[in-house]
Amino acid sequence: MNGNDLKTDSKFNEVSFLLNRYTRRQQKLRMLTWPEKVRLVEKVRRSVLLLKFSKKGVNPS
Amino acid sequence: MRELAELLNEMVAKRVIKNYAIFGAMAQIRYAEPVATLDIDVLVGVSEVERIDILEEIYSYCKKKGYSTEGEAIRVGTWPVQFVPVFSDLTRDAMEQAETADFEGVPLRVVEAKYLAVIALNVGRAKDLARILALHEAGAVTWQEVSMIANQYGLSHEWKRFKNRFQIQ
Repeated sequence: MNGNDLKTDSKFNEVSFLLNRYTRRQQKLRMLTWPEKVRLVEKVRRSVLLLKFSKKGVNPS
Repeated sequence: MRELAELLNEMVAKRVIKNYAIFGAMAQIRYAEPVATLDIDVLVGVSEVERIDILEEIYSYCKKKGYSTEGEAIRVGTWPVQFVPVFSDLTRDAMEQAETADFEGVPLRVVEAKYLAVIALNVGRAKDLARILALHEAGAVTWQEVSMIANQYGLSHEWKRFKNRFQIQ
């Protein structure tokens, strides 16, 4: 095994780790109830709006 | 969202609308992992489908109840709500055959995953195609179900294109 193989293996492990973490996270999210998911989405929406309106100096209700 | 469920049930009871069902991203969230969305889409059945101002009764009812408009939407709680009159056989059946979910103690009708997928197939934007994949990945629909309903509503060409694009057997 040369240096390039080690590099490729290391990248592969990194990607594999990230994919596994992503899959576990998605599975966890799917397990939430509908109202719990809606509350989560509400938080995201509020953050997006805050970011959008902060540039305009307006506070979204 | 709970407030919206109460409002929608009240509108059915008072015959402002015949029926309703949540669809779009908010319905997808019920079956799969959460996705970002800025509004809530509601399919509604109204009695006078021939009128140009088909949603007038809904808007005036909501106005009387103190809800404000936000562009084409009505703001209910923290959410802008888009009322979409059923516009095809597919959307009418999707609304009629919707499931009644329990949302924090309030019944709330929501389009079944298989209809949601086929409506998305019909609309066909990138985010709609992603919705079909998400529903399938979450185990909410099978390809057989999607295929059957797509064929039933004359969407076999769209289904074939989707299958080819995503290499579905």
